[in-house]
Amino acid sequence: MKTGAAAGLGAAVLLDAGCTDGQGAASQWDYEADVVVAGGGCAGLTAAIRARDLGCSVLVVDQNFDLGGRMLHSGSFVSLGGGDPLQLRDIKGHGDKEGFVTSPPVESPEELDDSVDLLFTDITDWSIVNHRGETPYRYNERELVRAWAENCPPTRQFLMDNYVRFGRINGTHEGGGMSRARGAVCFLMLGDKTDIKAGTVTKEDAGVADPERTSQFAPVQMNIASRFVQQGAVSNGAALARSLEFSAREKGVQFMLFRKFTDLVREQPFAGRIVGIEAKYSPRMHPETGELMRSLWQNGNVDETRDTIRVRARKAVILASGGHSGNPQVRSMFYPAMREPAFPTSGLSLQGPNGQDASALIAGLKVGANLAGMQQNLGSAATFHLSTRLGTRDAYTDMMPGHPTFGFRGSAGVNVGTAGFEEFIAVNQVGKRFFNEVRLPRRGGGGQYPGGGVAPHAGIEHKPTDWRNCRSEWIKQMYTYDHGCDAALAINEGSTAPHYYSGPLWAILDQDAVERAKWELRFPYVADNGYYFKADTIEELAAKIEKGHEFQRVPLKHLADTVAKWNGYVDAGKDPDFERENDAPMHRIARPPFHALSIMVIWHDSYGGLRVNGKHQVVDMRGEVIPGLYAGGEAVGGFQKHGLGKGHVHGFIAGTNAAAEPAT
Amino acid sequence: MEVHATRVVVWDVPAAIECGVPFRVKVGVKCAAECGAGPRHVEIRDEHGDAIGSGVVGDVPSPGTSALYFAEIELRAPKAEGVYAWEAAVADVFDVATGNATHTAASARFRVRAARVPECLLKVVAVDARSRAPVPGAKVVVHPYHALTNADGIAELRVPKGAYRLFVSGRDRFPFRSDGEIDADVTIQAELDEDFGPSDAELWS
Repeated sequence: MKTGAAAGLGAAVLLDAGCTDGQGAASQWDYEADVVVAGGGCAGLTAAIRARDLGCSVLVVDQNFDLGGRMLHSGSFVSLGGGDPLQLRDIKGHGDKEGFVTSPPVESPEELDDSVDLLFTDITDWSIVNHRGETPYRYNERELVRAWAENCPPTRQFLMDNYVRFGRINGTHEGGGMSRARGAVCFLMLGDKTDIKAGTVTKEDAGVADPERTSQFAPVQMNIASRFVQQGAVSNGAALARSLEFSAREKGVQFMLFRKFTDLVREQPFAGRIVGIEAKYSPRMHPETGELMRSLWQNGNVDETRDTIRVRARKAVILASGGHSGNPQVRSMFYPAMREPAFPTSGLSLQGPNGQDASALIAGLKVGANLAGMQQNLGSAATFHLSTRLGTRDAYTDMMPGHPTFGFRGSAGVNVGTAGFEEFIAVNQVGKRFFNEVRLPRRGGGGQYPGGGVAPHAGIEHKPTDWRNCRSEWIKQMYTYDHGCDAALAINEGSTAPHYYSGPLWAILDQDAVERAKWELRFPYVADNGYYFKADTIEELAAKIEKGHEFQRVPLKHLADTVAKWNGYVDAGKDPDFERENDAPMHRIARPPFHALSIMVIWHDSYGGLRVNGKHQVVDMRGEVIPGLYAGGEAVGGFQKHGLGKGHVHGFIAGTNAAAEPAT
Repeated sequence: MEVHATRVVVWDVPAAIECGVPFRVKVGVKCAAECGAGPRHVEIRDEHGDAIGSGVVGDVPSPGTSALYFAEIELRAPKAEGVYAWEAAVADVFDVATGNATHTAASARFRVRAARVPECLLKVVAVDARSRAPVPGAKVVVHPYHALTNADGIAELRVPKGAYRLFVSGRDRFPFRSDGEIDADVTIQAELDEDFGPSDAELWS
């Protein structure tokens, strides 16, 4: 029986309230499609388009109000390689077929001369160190990584065939094998209208018309990409995510938003095929108007408001609903201190409370799936780190007013950089200093190599054949980073069992610091949202924090004494607690008004997850494939690669193989 | 009637003052209930508790504050070198009619460094390490002396002879540090490296 709700679905997805699961079970299905994808981010969108290209009907369910996941927030740096079409293009010095890319190649042909074998070796050999002197690659699942390497070239072509435009190759991303240049950002050209087919975006949509405003099209203001394309090019995740979304909608992929994937439906609890999913209604209301939020584009959307629905997958389910970085209870298995709910995952306001909530992991475990690479969460210093953006809970990225989720964060925050930490003291929840502030945010260098621009690699003489790319002296340099994040996560005085919370953390400064640093402590950078406070006296500041911050559980009873003691250290020129006088000048905190800005620890990547084989089929605890179940992106473990390159290829492989499944 | 708590804040105390030379500080008085401070009398006491200066807070709050009324008070540095712990204090306020206290007494300590006359001129030229361009607005600190570089990236400080540690730092730049002895006028070029932390885009991708 079809109802009115099916009218907008076209041929791809049918509502058939009376059907069974095809195995004779008395399941009740609300929708069905050949391939059902949980999650509309980089892995999910790629998988959906790929399966659709191969003739499948595809329904994507996503918990959020809009598509793109964290890809939409990203820098769009897609690191692939293995001799991919972009590397070949840049070796030849060619531009793109549309004539947008006219800047010369950034990397030399030697840096771009790549192969699948070299790429595979780069990311599985035990002896290869990354830019931080860490050796994560030995733990990667070899079959998974081999499949990834082999599918990098066709995935790059696939993305380019779906309106994704890449600038010049420029370095390589963390975990992507650093012996060759393999990464590039995605761009659009500034134009009179936003037109994905034409490759243009307006200044307003790109967020470059007003430095304090962005748009729903691009929640983060796009970057000038003239070096990698030509004058007038702008880049970031919007150029990637919106292009893929546009293509998916154009090709007939169907989307059910506000629909949080919760469970897999298997023929028997731990046996048989995966035949569908259950998903719950997860509406998000506009933070100012209270109205239901709307996706940027609506064509292909399936409106459905019932609390729980079941969707039958005739061929396969693909789990691409992200990782677990937004689930403090799951995070705590890796670092108990990260059970602290004050510390969010990246993109909190964009994704909402259901983002990165370990839904794939939880559902997979319920049907007997195995896990992989869980320890790899601790294999990178970037997994969780202390942000230099202060005064906002959503401290990983900036976002300006104009995107509908800005109200959830309330403030863009002030990025003070590492150097800015000399302007204040950092205190814990009881108002005590806990670390040398200027060393607090330090961590290993950035990940791009051989693209340069990030110390200590800048200007090095790179030998293309030397894939063990880190000399011993670099390793020593890289191991000098401090453990400020661990100090920040230490048990705070005032916390009690069973929680022993770590946060929150506060930067305390005076008006002289604001003027020295020229920080603009005004909206939209800070706001009256519980993450920034100003007061006439230190005592008042402590009281305001306690009253106004959602995670401040105890009084900052030591703050006034801490500031007085600090001023004494400044006058004496010595900091006997943390020896700060050796690293940077010290400044009194004396001139009113006084300011407090939140300091956040952010958990970004999820490296552990479901175990999959080279086809991206989920494998159970006995090593057997769970029929009809695929996974990709951060839902998957066993591959410590940061960023989009992993997810897109996972989605490409999963979509390819899911489409080849027999229909049930 | 509830007695309002009072807080005292002292600022704009010079980091070092030549012995015996007059200087000015600001003393703010804040009522927790944010009622006007009224004509509250501020007294400055030296390390022995002796009154050495005084003033009356005005009726305009200090810029950027909601109700911190302040007085600017002239003081004189001690004649002997050293760091001195002084205090700014306000007394209780009583209702004339009832005799009941309306505002509490309060005080705040601050330190005054009396220093000898600096003999040497330290000239600092702050430049970008890569481009060699001058860095204006950089902070130059030779404890306890400090200055900002001008539009040409230059700052001049008079400092006493002896061991020194120079820091030069600026927005989005890592601090430059130089340790040594100074016994004559000297010029130091400070090459400032950019804060090379990875961008959000690099990390996020």
